[in-house]
Amino acid sequence: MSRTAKEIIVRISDLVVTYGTEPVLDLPLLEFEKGKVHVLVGPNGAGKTTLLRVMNGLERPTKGIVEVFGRNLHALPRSERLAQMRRMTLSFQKPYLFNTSVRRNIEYGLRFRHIDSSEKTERVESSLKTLNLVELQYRNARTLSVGEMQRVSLARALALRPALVLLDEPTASVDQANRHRVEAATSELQAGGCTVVAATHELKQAYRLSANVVRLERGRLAPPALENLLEGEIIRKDGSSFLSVGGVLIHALSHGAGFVRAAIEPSAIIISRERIESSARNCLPGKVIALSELEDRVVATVDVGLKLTVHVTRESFDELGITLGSDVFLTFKASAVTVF
Amino acid sequence: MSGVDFLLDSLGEALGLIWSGNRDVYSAVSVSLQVACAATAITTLVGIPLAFLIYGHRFWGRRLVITVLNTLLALPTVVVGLFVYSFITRRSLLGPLDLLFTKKAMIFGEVILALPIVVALAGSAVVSLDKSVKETALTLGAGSSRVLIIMLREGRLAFMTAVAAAFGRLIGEVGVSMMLGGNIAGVTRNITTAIALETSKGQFSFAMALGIILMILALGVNFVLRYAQGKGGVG
Repeated sequence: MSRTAKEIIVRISDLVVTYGTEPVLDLPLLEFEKGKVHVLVGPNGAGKTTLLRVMNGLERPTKGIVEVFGRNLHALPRSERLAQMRRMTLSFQKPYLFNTSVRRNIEYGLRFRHIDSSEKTERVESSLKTLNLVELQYRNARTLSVGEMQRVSLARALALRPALVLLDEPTASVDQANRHRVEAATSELQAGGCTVVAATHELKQAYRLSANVVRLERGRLAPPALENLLEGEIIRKDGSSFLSVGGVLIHALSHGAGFVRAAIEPSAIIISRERIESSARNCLPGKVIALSELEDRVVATVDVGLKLTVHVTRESFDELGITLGSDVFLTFKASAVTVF
Repeated sequence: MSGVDFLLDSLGEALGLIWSGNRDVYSAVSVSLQVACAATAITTLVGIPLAFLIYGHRFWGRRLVITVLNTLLALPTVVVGLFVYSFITRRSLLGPLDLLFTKKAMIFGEVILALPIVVALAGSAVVSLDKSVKETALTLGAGSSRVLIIMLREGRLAFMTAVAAAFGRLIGEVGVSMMLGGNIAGVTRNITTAIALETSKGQFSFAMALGIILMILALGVNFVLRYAQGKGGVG
């Protein structure tokens, strides 16, 4: 899709947030496209939570513009800002649930929006089902575990059916069995036309949720987290698992099936002029289509039916005598393919 | 008559006075309840918003205000009485209002006595209410007034405790009532001033009857509070 055709729901420009003298966020430009799932990934202290809070209007930036739904959120008069805030919601990592039942917690935001009672019931029931909370609906929310609380918080967001949902570490304390429900709820939000921006410190989860991953390091945008990010189907053939990407079959270790995202670490791929006989399951012939230098390494892009990036030391590169257009083989183990 | 007999006889007479609906006893009880309830209501209406203003916001001099409030918590009732007296005595600023030795004067004094209690205790509730209560309400699209209602709801037990503590302090205080009410029978004589006066006059059974009622009132407030806390699970 061309850049002009993209519909941007949040545009952040020249944003700086400072606590004391220390800038915790410094982002020249960041855009989130409408109707997609975006993931902010980074370690603790990277500024993910602060960014979500600024986007939701809970925190004012020290400087910069946060345009949400086409308007500078922090420059709006109070009533208009409230109207904008009602079009989105933020679910905290440690959610606060009101001292009442799970069901009434989910209803809370709907009451502020004067939703009529039959629609309110329908939305609450549907959110309870999606997040596997039907049996807990009459329990006092304060008696739940942290993971259950996170699911209630997400159900509360789901019921609002907002245009933009901000999720801070949505599965941080959720047990393994219910993680997929939370991730499915994210997809459901997107399917309903909602834009989701989720923050996580877990790279695997980030790519499970979306290919639109923004990496933050110490409040700044960092280079994309992964090279050789692939989207394809896991298929089983002759007792082995393959990742099928655009007709190219790659040996991969996966017990799952269906659509997945996967990545291959560029330094785990061996590039050679001749086919190498080894234990590595993958040996793909291809052609070098781009070459560049990165510090002491050479970065080669090889077309093997799909484009893969390979990192080689300058010494090895010189020994191999690779040039643009060279025919090469890429060899890597099935275990070098990380399936998310 | 032995000491034990004296106590038992007095207790019997006191219970008799309560049971028979003695006019003087119930007049004092009525004054106590009227004044304490009115003062508690006014203090609640003024004190809880003040608690939100002082403890919920950052402003210059906030620490000083909180220190003064905490100091006022321990203020002797006679000092409050003296302070208000100095304003309402006939030769003073509010003298023309003719408030001295009226229930209004007692209510005025008791509001001043209870205000630091309600503000300080409700203030602790405001502080202890997680910052995320307000933020969660905002993320769900609540406006300012809704946010305030949600905070009151979430901190309801702590706010009720503040109000109950104020009522408990007022129903049992004697300094303000004595100095500003003047212990006028049937008008400003309440439980505590009557106990003080009747005991000094040797009317021990009468004082004991009022003492028992005061204890029942204090216990009643605590029972109501306990019950509310028990019901506080699901709102």
